[in-house]
Amino acid sequence: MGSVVGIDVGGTFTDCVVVDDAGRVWMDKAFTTPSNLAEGIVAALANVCDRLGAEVDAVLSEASVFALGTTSLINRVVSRRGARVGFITTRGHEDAVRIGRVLSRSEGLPEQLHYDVAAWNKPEPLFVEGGVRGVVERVDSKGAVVAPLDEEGLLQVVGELRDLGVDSIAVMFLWSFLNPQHELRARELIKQAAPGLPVNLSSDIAPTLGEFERANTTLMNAYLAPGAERDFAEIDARLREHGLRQPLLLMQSNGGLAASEELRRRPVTGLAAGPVGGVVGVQRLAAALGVRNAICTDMGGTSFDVGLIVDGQPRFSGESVVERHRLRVPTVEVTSIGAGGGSIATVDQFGELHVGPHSAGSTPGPVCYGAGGSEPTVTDANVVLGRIGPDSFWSGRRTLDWEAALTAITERVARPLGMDPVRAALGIVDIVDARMADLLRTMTISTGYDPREFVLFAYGGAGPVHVGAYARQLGVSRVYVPLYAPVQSAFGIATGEFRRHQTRAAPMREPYRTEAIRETCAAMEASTQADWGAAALDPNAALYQRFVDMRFRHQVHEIRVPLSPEDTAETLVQRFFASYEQAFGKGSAVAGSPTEIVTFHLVSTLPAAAYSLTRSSDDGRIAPAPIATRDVYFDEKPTATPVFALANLGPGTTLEGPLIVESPNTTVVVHAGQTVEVDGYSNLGIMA
Amino acid sequence: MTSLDPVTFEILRHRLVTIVNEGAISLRNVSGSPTVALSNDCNVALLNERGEAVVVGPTIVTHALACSYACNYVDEHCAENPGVNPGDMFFTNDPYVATPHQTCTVVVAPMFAGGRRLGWTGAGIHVADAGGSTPGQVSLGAQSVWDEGLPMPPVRMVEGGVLRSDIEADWLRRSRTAAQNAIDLRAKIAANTVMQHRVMELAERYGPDTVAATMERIIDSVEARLRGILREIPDGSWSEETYLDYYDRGGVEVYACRLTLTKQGDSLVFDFSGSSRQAPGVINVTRPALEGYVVRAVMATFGYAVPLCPAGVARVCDVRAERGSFVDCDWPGGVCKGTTSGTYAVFHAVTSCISRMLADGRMPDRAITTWRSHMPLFDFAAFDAQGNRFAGVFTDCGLGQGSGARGTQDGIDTGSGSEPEVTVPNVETNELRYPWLYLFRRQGRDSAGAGLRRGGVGIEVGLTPHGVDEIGSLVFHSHGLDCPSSPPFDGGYPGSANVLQVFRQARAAGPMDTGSSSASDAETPPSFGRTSLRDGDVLFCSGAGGSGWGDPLERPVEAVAADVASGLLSVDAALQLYGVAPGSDGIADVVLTEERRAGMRRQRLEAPEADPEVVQAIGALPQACPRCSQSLADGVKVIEVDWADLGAPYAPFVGTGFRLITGVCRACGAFVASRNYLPPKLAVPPV
Repeated sequence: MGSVVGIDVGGTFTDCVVVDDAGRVWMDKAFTTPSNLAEGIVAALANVCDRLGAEVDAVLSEASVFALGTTSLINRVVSRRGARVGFITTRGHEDAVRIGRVLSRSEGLPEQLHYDVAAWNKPEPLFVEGGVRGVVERVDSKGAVVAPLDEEGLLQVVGELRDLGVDSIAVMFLWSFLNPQHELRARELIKQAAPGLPVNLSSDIAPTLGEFERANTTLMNAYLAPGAERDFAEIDARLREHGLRQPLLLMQSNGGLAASEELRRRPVTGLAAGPVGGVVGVQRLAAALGVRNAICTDMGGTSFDVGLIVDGQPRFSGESVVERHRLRVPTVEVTSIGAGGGSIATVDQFGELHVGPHSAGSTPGPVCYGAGGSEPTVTDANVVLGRIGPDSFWSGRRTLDWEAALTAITERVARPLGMDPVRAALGIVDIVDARMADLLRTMTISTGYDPREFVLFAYGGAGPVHVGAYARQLGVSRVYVPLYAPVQSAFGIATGEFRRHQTRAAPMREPYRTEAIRETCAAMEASTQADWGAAALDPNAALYQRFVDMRFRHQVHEIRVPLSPEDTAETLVQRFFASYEQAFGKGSAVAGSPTEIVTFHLVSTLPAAAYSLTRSSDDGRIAPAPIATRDVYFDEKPTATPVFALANLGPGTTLEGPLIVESPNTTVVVHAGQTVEVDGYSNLGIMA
Repeated sequence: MTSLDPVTFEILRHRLVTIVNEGAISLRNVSGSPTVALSNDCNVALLNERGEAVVVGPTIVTHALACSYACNYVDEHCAENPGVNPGDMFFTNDPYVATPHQTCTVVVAPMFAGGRRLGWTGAGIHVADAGGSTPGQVSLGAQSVWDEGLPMPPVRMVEGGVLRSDIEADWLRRSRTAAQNAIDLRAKIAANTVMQHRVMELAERYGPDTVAATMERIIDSVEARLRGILREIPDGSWSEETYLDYYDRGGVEVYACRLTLTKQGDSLVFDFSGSSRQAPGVINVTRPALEGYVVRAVMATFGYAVPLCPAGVARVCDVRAERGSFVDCDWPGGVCKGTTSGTYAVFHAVTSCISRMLADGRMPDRAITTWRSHMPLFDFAAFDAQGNRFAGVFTDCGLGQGSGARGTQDGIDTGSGSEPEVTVPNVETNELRYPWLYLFRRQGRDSAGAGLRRGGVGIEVGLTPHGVDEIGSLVFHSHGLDCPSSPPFDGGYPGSANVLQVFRQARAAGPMDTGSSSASDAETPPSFGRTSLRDGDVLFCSGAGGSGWGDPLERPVEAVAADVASGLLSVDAALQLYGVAPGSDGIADVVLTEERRAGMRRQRLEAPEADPEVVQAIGALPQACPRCSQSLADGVKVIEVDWADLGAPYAPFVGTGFRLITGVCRACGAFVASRNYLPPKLAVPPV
């Protein structure tokens, strides 16, 4: 068995994690190389290999899994570097995307623009200008053909689109997810008329109810596919030069891995994969630690990203909004607000103090970086308060300028408010902590859960600095800072599983037939099994979980209900009532109200690699000595606070706060009254 | 009062917003009705001791304002009997007390902490039915509130934490949708309970005085911000006249909403004097609704700089109207159509006057002619072969209208309304729920009001019954079919009319996209009335485009050509409205266009001058012509534009008595002003 390699290509850094044969985890990072991502990938791996004392080519040729998460797809959308897409749809409905359910005029805007009503506009569609064509055909809500496909008309519009110079086609006909026959025939005809032109069918890419989202998803796939093909082929080739023998695996938005061939064909399924790696990493750790419900918090320079794990599974949503385009792709839910280390503190003309959502980003970054930033940030406040040590940043490769941070806070915040600078810095940190606690509460409550029943995980550069405070406000009693906090996403990618998420809209109304439900599930399972087989994986080794989206007939919001193979129509309805009351409270479901089924989901997973993390015995309790003591402000008076190096803390170590733990890439702040404990995987557990 | 440091204020401010959002989540989750979940027609509020709405949820703000009026009534009328105590909650749907119409219902609850009353919480939901002569919100033919669902003034629905089943039964008895109304009542109670619980936690931790002080400071802060913006704008006064067409007892009457906005220093006075007297019908606006819609329009405009705090905004607005006019009606005026009739005339007039003020105040980027036009709406009900009943409200063409042009850009195509979460369902969603087949749902070509910056195009839908023999009941309650409902600015044109037409047995004859507003065999159903559709009939509905801003002849040729290329503008309309002549590429010939535009300007200069009373109606003028810079101190030439010259979208206005009047620069022939105009004698007279 070879090692497992996980790579997370971010905007600034490419992170790398290697789990070796013995289950030990190694990590490092390198700068991302946007013009050719493969270079940064190899450089990050080379850095880890230095620590391992191995050659890159040797590690790659023996690797049992090589998994990658990348922002290259989303970057194509942001910079509008996609294919020239032509769009063919049902005549009379050509404007579905431009109408965008009206909602598209404001959806997906950053929070500060949400109420900037006079500035709203709809996003540019993903097809080329003038590239929409309607064809006569119609299927109804029962799947019956109302008007046959006008094949001549279709051929004519294909010709027109070719003349427009399109290099990718998307087809979305109404109700095609119930009856794909017109879309399938359209593909045949297009292939004949325009060989080599890629065709994306909505019944294949997003077979769910709702023409606007189905069209957008299909268009996005058509928009990305040609470029994705080139990007991934390039990375793949470079890794093969270095000896990689296993297939290149890529992280998908659904939190699982897939072979790169599959993402070349369906790149839309990988578009929102960026922030999900961290959540998947927490899922693995939580499983090892016996934690069922977890809140994953990732605080970086510009944003605070939150995901939830409920009953051991990341919460996923069937829909997401990416660069203002609403897509129907199963996605691990990650919610984001503008609160990070770089969030800027300002005092407005009314004497009110605000923190964020504007951020100093990584350039120029906080004032203390000395890279030209002049506006005080959350990180500057932490430096002034002594919570972040001046030498503790980026493995000490950059010294933080305490005095510059103090000056900025004094001049821009403390003086305008008539406050002592320390009080101002405390205020900045308190405000950002409170905002994060508010977001976490809203997120958990809106899913029907109480945050106090969850364990919090904190990672990202700034998460461990703040988690002690926001956990306390939330009433959470247990926190983990993973050992791999600085490269949590890469860790999640390395330890990911293969995951296929099949969605099928099959509207049914009570009374249900048990047979119909079972037939739908069986058909989906057969289809997924065939997919596993086609990917040269063993379908019998896979796990299959079924879910059904259901609702009361006269209501609109759907509840996701787990479905077991033994379920009957009756037990499914019972389960729906139980799930409904879990989400909305006891007594909220009115007995006897008829229900309906909207969508079936089949989630199937297969382990990508057989490995287990090394767990050290907790017995060897050691009492490490602090590496320093420094004055830290937890309130307006400084507290002489011991600082420990993470490397010196072994399993079983227990320490009482207040204290600071430093590692090359992160700082953990433990408040008075909190206890920190190191577990067998060298994670820090904090108890309130 | 406890002193409040900026850090505590910022933390508590954000937490109160979070609490209100949590209340909104509970409200929506427990209700689950399509009105709530799809249209977001609900809201929650946190109110101070005096019942002022301090923080409101992200949806329709008038629900939150209704809570405020309900609190005031309870304080005034219920303190002694039956009493206002911890654990009590009060329910009302009375438009003469609080809500804009009877189907808007609110529950408010006083909050007590540390021996004092800390404030109130409130929650509102639009329910499907609150009684009256016709299913749904509108009682067709009602002449007064006595013919509508009779409103309930605030009653103590929850007493010491216990829901009064006798009073609940009284409320539910009044509705055809009692079961859903029962759930919606619980949703409002749940939202209040959640918010109260969370505010109590804050009061325990920070002290009730600190929480109360935070609420006061939020209002003060919003008021100060808004006043700060207003002080930057030159003083002045701006007028607008908007119209409401109402079909009743066989004829259409037009109600005129006349508004003068006066801005002095940092205050706004909205004076509706001279508006038509109240209607013997369902369209009137009560005082709470009038104030609510004024505040709603101001909040939408300044939402970019001012958090959602109606109380702070209300303090800046002084609203004046004559009691007995249709915008401030007297008991027992009918009001059940309140939210989408007279209130819209108010909303459009307020938006227009504020936008004129902003444009004059060098803030055109914040200005918009109107957020939308009057709405074409209908309720429908049918039975399928199995006897299942379907019922719904058709909102596609109301919500999918075009917005008006903005001060620095075009209006939004098929994207009207000022609330971020407004949406229409997918065609497939509606076909799944209801026995309709959509022949088309598309952007309405030529529907946008022309202008230097055009309005957004509206939406067009063709529907036919599918899977049923008939849709037995269609109840129309629509405006804007017989009057222009979006005011044009500075030489632009109003948006198109709303259109409702039935084509009997058209399905068999036509292709899939049958339906055209100019077809001769169209049957026009009454805008307030009933019809039914049989299998094979086609209903065509078109939602208006937004109004334009500035002389259409000044619109860059490339912009007109782009609209033609994208199918939003026909070649004919490009020529007729914009003077853009088609070239050999089929789109635009620059030389011919210059000639044609010059010719059109000459025609304007040669056109007969309007009557003196019409001339006066053109209103305020810019100081100089934006085209040739000629001073306009000596006025302009005012002419009437014939609707018939403007093409099919304006055809419904021909013969209505409405005119488009424009101010022409005498030096160059540019349009520098424009107004919708109705001779006063054709409108219902003032009080």
